[in-house]
Amino acid sequence: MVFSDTPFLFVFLPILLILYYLTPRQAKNYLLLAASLLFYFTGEPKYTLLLIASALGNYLFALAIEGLPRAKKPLLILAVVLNVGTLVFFKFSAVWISGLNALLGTSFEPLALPLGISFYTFQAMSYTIDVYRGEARLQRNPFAFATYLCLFPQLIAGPIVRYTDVDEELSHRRHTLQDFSEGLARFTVGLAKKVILANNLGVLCDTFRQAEAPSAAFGWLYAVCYALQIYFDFSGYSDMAIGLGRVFGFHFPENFDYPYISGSITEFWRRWHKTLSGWFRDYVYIPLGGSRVSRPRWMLNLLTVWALTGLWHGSGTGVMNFILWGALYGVLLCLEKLFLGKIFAKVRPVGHLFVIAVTLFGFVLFGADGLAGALSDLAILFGRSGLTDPAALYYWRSGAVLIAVAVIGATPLPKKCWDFLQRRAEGVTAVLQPLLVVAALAISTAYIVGSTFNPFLYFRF
Amino acid sequence: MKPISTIRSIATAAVFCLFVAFFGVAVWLAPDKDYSVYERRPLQQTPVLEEAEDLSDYFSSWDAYLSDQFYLRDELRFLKSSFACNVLRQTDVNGYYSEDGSQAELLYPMNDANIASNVALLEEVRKTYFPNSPAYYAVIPDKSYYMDVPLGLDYDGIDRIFQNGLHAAAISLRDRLELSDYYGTDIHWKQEELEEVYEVLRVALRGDLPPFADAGFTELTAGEFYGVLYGQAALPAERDEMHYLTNATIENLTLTVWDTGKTGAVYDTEAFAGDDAYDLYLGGEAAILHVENPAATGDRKLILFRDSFGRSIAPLLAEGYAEIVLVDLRWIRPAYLSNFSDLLSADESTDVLFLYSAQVLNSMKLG
Repeated sequence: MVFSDTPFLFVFLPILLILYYLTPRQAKNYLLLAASLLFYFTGEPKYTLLLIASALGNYLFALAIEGLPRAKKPLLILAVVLNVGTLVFFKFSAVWISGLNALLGTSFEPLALPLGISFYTFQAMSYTIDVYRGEARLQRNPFAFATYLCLFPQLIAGPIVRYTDVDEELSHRRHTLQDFSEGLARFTVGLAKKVILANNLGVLCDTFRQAEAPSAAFGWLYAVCYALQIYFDFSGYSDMAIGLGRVFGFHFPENFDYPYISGSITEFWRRWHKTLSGWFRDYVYIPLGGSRVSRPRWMLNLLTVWALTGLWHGSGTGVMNFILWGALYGVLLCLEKLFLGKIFAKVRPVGHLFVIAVTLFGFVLFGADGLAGALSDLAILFGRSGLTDPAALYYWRSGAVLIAVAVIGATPLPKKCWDFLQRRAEGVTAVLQPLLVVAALAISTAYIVGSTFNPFLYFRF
Repeated sequence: MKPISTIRSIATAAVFCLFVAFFGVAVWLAPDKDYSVYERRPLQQTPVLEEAEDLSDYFSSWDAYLSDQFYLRDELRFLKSSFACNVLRQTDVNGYYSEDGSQAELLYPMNDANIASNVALLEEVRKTYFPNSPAYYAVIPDKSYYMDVPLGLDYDGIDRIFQNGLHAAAISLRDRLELSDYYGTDIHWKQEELEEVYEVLRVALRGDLPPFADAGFTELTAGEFYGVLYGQAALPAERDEMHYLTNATIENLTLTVWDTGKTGAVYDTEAFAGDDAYDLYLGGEAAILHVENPAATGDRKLILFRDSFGRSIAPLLAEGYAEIVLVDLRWIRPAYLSNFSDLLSADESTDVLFLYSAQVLNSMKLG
């Protein structure tokens, strides 16, 4: 089950909403936990126990860290090793199982990557580390902690919500009409971003993949569409997660802030997948010394963090693409700290163009099938199979409005217009918002019902 | 909260909840359908755990089930296409496009390997069963060939594949057809517009066929219909009208469907009212059809390897032959043809025609 399929929208969500608002306050968390486990079970039946084990394990580790102050460091190390070990075990099963097969002459199949494991493992670790640091209050109720970790809106693809973000709301949250309504509106925006924009951009990307010898024009169409698709896919999911959180009384951190308007790579990563960048900053970069070390060490810290960021996205045998993608950003961030940043600060359009170019090339690397595929895709961008072809022109023309809408939608312009309207003609928005919500729901439903299954891109991480 | 904000919140929450609740309830109350006439496919039925591969398969089939049985599904599909065309201004919707009321499927990219494989199969059939009979081939262009679409099949390339792969004489139909010879909402050609195709076949084949103008065809109307493209593209379009040609010879033809043993006339007006109006011609899809002409003066035979297009031209060609055997290799493997040795017996006087639409050659695996 995903947020953009019929079982979720028209069965799971309405039933849960009714039950949730009928359930007494003290039982709401139990209901949410049960619903979240059911939600996960329908998508990943065989790994539901792994999720429960992760919740229980981290709950017990945190309890032990608090209860055994003398042993808290070894306990933390053990907790981190177990969390990271489990993540690596599953993420790279294709690599180590193929090694095992080569060594023993066996033919074991690689394990499927458990849904959302990268997200919930990082959430769980943040709790255990924060308890160790004394930055998070120990949660003694295992069900309350499991509710946090398994909470279905953010379970599978983020945002990476830290325990401290929702600690208070786990026990004392308010349910207001405004949160309920704005949450549903935000969910609808996310749904439309995913279903109408990202999926249609994905169709254009697929035509590139199906073409026999795509020209440079086709390659650039793919690069633009893929960069937009991944943004609307992922930020759409985040919008849906944040919106659902509000419906149930939680306020999750924002995950995107119009990254494509950034004037530097540093700014881009402050705007893109903010909760992941923040996680690496607080749990890896700063403990390594951050920028308060010698310059070479600082650069090394940056490269380490960004290689790990790339690694976090990767899995299986295609991991090198992601490590290179992360390392590319690491190197560019180092260059920005050394000298590029000054240039970008003086001439912002240059920085902006640089960000766009890096993002396009970066996502081509990100979306390619292995290193050979990445090289092939990059060669296409530079005209290996000619500059243009009829198919490229056809799809540029066919997708022109969609791409234009997506480009505008990736800027703050629509939100600014809406805010302006709210300030100047609030009465209009009282009519317009429900109309837009029902229109977006109807069109999204039309796309969902009339299309084949299309999972979220970030589910594979 | 200010009153105006409260109104906005209430209205937003209400429309969302009503929308979700309405369709949530309707999908359970509306009776399940077995088949989608628009999409020409069976619809997913209630998932059964015992029939699923595993639990994941079981849960994901609920998505397919609810989407297939969704209340107002067809209307929503039309909404989607309308949004794609009119708002996003997309040239095609999921590979279907419309030009001046005529709909077509975008056949891109061309599947050269599939076409070559199909042609190799036809050659294998020719060599195995008809080594001594003169063979001909003709490729029926898809509609997009006559439309203003920059993407489509490379017909010169298809010709090259045939010339290199099939030992048969070419009959070119490309200049014998135009867009108006096809139905607007269907992939097929119109039988009543096949005068030029008939003429080129008449000259190429050895059947004793009169010129089209002398054949005494009378045009009858079967009725209005929506073709296969209408439901698949889900784009607005006018209904088509189906006509069929008949004369004394055609009226006396007898059709035997070897798949079922059923016999009857070559036009099945009851089948016209079924899911596929084109089933009017020879009663619909079948592996082996046998058309016999009791008024024939000689004993010349035509063996026609074909797809659905062949069913509409066959009655027109019947006057020149004592019998026409129609073989649809989409429904029968070449190896099984040996079971029909009498029916498919051929000598130097037998014409063998491979008549296939480019769409089938590109998209389907024969045999």
